[in-house]
Amino acid sequence: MRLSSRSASRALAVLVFVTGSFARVMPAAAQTFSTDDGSSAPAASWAPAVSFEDQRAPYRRPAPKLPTGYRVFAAVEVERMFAKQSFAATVGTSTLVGFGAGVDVVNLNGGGLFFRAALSVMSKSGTRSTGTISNGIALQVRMIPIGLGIGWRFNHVTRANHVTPFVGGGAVLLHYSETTPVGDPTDNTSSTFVGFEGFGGVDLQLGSSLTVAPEFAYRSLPGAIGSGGLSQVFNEKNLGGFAFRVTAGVRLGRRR
Amino acid sequence: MWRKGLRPTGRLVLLTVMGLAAGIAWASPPLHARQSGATRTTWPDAFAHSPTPSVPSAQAQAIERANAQGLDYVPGEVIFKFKKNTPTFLKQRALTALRSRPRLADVQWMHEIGLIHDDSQPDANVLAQQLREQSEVEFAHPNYLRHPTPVSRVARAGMSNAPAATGDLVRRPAATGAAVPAFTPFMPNDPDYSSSQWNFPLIGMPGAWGINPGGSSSIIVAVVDTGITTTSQTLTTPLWNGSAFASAALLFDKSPDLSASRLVNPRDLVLTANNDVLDLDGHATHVGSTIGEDTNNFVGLAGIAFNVRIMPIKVCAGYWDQMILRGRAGTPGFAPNVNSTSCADSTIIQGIQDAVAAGAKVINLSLGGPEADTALQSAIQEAVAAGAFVAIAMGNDFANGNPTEYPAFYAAGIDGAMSVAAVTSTMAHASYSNSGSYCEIAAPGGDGPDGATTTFIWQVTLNFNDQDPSLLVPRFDRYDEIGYTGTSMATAHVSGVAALIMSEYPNITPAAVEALIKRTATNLGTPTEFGSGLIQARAAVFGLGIAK
Repeated sequence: MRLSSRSASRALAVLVFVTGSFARVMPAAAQTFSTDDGSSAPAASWAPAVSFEDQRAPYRRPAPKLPTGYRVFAAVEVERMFAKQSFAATVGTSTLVGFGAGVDVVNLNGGGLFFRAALSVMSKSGTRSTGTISNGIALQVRMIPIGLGIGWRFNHVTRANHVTPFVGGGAVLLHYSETTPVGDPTDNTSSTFVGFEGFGGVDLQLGSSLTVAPEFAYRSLPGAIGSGGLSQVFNEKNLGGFAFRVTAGVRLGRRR
Repeated sequence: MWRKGLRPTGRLVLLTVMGLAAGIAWASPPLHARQSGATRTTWPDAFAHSPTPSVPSAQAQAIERANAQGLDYVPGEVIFKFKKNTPTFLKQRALTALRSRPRLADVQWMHEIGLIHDDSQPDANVLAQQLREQSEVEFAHPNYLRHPTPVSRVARAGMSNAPAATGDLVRRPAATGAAVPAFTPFMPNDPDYSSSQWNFPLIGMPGAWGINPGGSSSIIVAVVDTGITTTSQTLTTPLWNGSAFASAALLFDKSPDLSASRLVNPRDLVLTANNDVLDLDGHATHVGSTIGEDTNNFVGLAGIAFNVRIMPIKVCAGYWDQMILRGRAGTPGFAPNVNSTSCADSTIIQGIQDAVAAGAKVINLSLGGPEADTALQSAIQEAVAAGAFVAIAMGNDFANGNPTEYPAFYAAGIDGAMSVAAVTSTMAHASYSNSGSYCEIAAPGGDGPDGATTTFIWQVTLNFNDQDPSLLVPRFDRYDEIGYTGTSMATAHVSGVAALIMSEYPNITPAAVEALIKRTATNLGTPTEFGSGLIQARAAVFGLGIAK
């Protein structure tokens, strides 16, 4: 089959385009070149010596080491308690709202590792109950979860780190108290329990140092309740729940 | 067709015989079945001479006959129920199984439960069996007798009886957001409360009173028992004195520590046709006093729910009930079996139904017996369905073979009715208290006859020394602090606490009351003896939080 000169020039143009495209999408680390002794070396090793002809080849700058910094934040969270019936029977809902604050120590390893310490306070008023019927005697429930965890921030997802997903987990210390103002002091209970927490979300940079991060969390404190009161009646033993929280923070420290 | 073979004279004879039979049937008096509100005219012997015949007293007569014969049922009486949707003609057909062939109209109906009295067959077991064999009949039982007899009792002369004074109890104010004073335990000023009523602190009453002092007057507690005297009167009646009848003036008075204004809708289903209830035994007054004796009035002792109203329903006939009826009937001799105060199932059922109709929210049944009766179970179920909580004594026969007691046995299967066992002052199983898988809760019942009298349950009631069968003229107008022991007493504790709970939790259901009592009880182990444990009034009234 013969090709006309016009057709041949078109085919060449397509070939050049496809080759160029392939080269663009190939990761830099995967590209090799042959040396005089026949061995191969990673592209990155010669990348600084970029010739004019090679500027079309893909080049990705290695992730720079980020300096350790801090993100101090305030948080609002809504937690759906596992002990749904117990909470609903007393405080009228199994969803509690909390307010808190915390700090993320980011870029611990010059990369995505971060440490988090956070605290929030959830409080709700209700009445004591049979499980189905209230007797009108006031009951105040307060929970203060203190989270200590580590996580990983997926930096460089965007060029300027405007969007940074993260996941993490750790221990949670939850201080729980139930108070009946008109009752005897022995009617009240106040204890601290240990559990664990996992969380994940997205850190959105809104300004030079202001970030907002919506995130979901799973908090579990098995065995914290269930040995008395309505939690025993309903056989609900976990004082944790699923939470959605939004943190608004400020980045502190040296940045690049 | 077969008549065609008869001669004219034969036909005449046949017609004559049939006519005579029809005439006899028409002229015969109706069956001896009791009908509500109807004057009973055909009861054999005794009532024919009764100067004041009445429907309720017939029951006492029957009970006396049962006691005389040592029966555990009323002779010739059977309780039954037809299956649902049974047509009338089939009901009538089923009744023809009995030799007396009663009509439906002869049956005394207590809602769907029927009572037939059949003098032609005194053995009620035979009557019940004949009815049970009919496919239209759901169940049939003899009209069994229950007994409210306490294990032991002791009197203490000289009730503290200073002038009454108004208490200073204050109801908890409604929550307003302002600082609310804390609940503080309430100690009644009744003079012998501290020294005698160990049982109330044991179940947390001072704390419960601190939260809800005495309950609400909107709550009615029915005491289905020997009756609580509601009127002061002198009853002149003939009494047998050993050789002849002599007119006796029997004095009755109300309890000085149970306000008449709190006794509502009294019903006497035993002794009188009117509804002036008279207690000739003291058992019901003791039970009623535990439930709600006037409290914080500087008189005598305290009660649990001292603001609620009490509905006395007399369903049990004691020795003096029977003696009065014998006197009225002109039946010479003393009543037999002086220690057997008996209550027929039919009157208990009627009493329960009357209590529900009057709006009672709690029904106390400090009585029982070893015979099963589905009709009684049905009546309790109906009461609970109507919104009444029912407390039932487990019985005092642990040392006598520990038989299964009814209707307590039924309580375990009814959410809203509770069987009650007794514990001692040290929270141990009382030696007399029946046990079994149907035990649901325990309450103080006293240590029993072997215990010190200080461990009895003390309340103000009739001084039983005034009603000793050796007396020719008893009196029923003197009250003292009397110590009783038994599951009857324990049951009264549960009824009183249930009344407090119903006062504290508006619109609570009987099932929720039972659940709350169980959840807040102190676990004592051995469920067959204690059920969920010792009832705790304060914890129940205070309610539950999430963790505590």
